[in-house]
Amino acid sequence: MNLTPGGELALVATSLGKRYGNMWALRDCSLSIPQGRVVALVGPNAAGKTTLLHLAVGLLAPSTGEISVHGGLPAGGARARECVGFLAQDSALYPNLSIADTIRMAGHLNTGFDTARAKARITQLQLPPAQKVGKLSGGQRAQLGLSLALAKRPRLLILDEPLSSLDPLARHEFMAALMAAVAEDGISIVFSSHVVSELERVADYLVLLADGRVQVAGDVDDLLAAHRLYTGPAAQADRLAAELPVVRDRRAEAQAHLLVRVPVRTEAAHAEPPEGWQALQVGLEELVLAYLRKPGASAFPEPRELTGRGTAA
Amino acid sequence: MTATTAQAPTRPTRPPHLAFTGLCWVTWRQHRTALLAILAVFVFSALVLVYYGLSMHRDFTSLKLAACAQVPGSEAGSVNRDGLSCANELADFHGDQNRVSQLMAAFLPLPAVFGLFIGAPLLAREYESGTFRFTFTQGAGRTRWLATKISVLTAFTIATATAFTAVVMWWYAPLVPLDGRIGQTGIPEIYGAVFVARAVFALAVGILAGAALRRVVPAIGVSLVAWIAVVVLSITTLRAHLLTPLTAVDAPQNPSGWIVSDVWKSPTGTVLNSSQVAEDLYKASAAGHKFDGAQYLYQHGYVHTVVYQPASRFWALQGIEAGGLVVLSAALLLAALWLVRRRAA
Repeated sequence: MNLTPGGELALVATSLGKRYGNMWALRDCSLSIPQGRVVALVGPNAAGKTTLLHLAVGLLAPSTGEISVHGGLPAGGARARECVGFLAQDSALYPNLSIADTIRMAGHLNTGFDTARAKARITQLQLPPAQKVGKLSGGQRAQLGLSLALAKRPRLLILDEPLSSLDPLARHEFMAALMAAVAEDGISIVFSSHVVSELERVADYLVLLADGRVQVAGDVDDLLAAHRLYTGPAAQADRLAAELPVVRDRRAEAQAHLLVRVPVRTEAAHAEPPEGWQALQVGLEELVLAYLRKPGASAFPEPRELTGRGTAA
Repeated sequence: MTATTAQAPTRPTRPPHLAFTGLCWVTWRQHRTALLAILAVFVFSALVLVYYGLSMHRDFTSLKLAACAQVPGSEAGSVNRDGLSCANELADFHGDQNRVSQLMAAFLPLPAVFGLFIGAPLLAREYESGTFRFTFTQGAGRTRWLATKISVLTAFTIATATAFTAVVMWWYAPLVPLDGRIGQTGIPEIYGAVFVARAVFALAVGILAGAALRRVVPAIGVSLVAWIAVVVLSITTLRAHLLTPLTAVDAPQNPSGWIVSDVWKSPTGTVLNSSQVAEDLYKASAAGHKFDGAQYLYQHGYVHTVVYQPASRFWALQGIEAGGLVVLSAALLLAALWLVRRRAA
C-alpha cells in the first residue's frame, strides 16, 4: 500500500467487493481517505453504505479486494479494533443493561478504555447511570454509544447512520458533540447518512455510493471547486454539453441550467464561462442531489496538494 | 492539545491489557439471570432429593437393610448373606424404592436447561438483536469474547451438574446394595459423569445452534431436539454396545447387572415369548422340578441366552459414555468458534 511516511491514511480500500450469493452489495470500491477528515458517506438506501462500514470494522469479510484502516492496519484485526471506534446503526447496545453497566462492560472489552471520560460525558448529558439502555430515547442511546466509542480514544471513528433515528434537535446536539470530539482529539470520522442537508457544515470529505459502487469521492472543497452551474441560452447548451461533463441538465424554454464539472487544474481556460453564459457556485447538497439523480455520472477530483490537514495518496 | 489534559488523570488507572476477570464480569453480567434461574432449579431439585433422601436413609437404617445385600441369583435382594429373608423389611422399604423412577424421570431432562437458557441464546441473541455489532467491534474481539464465555460457562455447567449429581449419589446410596446402579433402574441417567457430560453437551449444542441459526427460538428448538436425540439414542441403542456385552448360555443362575437381551429357544429352535417360557416353567414345576425348572428345561434341549453388562462395569460404561459426549461437545464448541470467526471475520 502506498503509504506516506507516518501512515497518513485513515482508510484505504482496494478493489473492495462484497457479494451475498449472486448480489453484489459493494463492488470495485477503491478509496483512500486521508487522516483528520470528517467523511460523509452518502447514498440511497441499499447503496452499500452499511456494507462498506461493516467491512471497515471487520464485521464482514470482503469477497474481493482489501481494506485497511489507520495507516494500513487490516480492518477488524486486533490492532485495528483498538484504534477504531464504531457506532452501529441504532447503537446496538444491550437494552437490559443499565448505562453504568454498559460503560463498565465497554471498559472490560477494551484496553485503554477511558471510563472516567465516558462517565463524565454521561453526567454532562444528564443521563441517570442506573437507567436501562432500553428505556433511553434514540438520541440518548446514540449519545451513549458515541460516549463509549470516544472513550476508546479511537484514531478513527466510524458511525453507521448515527442521525437516522434522531429528531432535529437531537441531531443537532449529536453533531455538535461529534464536532467537539474532532476538535479535541483530532480524530478521523467516517459517517454514513442519507440526510444530505447540513452535510456542508460538518463534512469535509464526501464519498457517494450508488448501487454498490463509488460514484463520487473527494475533498468537499475540491468537489465544489470542480463544479459550476452554467446558465445560458438553451440554443448553445448542446455544444457546451459536448465539451464538458454535465451532471445535471435542466432546460427551460430559452434558458439552460447545466451543472458541469470543470477541470480544476486548468483554471485559466475555464475560469470564465463561455460568451453569454453565467457561472454560479453550487452547494454540496445540490451537488449530492444532482449525482444521486444521475447514477451514471461519477467524479473523482484530483487529490490536492499537501495541506496541514492531511495528504492524499 | 486539549486532549492531553483530559487524558492525564485517567491514564494511570487504565489496565495495561485486557483482564480475564473483566471478561468474566462481562459474561456474568450478560448471563446472570439465566445462571441464577438455573441455580434455583438445581437447588430446588437438590432439596427435593435431600428431603426424600433423609427419609430413605432413616428407613434404611431403622429397617437394618444394610444386612440384606443383594446375592446374585436371589430374588431382588430378598435374601441376605446369611440366607435370612429380608422380605418384610424390603416391603416396608418399597415406598422409598418406588420413588426412584419418578424422581429419575423428573431429573433426567435437567441438563438440557444449560443449552436452552445459556447455550442457545449466547450467540443467537447477539445476532438477532444486532448487539454483535457492538460487541464484536470492541478491542477484545469476538474470538476472545466467545472463548472466555465458553470457558466460564462450561466451568459453571460442570460445577452445577457435579454438585447436583453428588446429591444424587448420596440420595441413592442406600439403594446401591439393593438395586445396583446398572440394570433397569434408570439411575445411570442422573448418577455420575454421564449427567455432567450431558449438561456440557447441552451447552455446546446450544452455542453451535445459535452460531449457525442466528435466531433464539430456532436455536433453542434445534438444540433441544439434538440433545433429546443423542440422549435417547445413547439410552436405547449405543450404551449397550459401549463395551462388548457378556453372554451367558444356560447359566445356572440368571446373571445380575444390566440385561441387554434374554432369549429362550425351544428344542426345535423357535424363539419363545415370555408367556410361553412361563408356561414351560410351570409344566416343569408340575413335573416335580419346582426349584430347578430352568435346569430341567436346559436338559430337555431348551437354550437360554442372556446378553448382559455386569454391574462391575458401571463406572467403565459411565466413563466411556461421558468421555464420548465431552469429546463431541469440544468438537461442537470448536465448530461454533470457527463459525463465528469465519461468518464475518
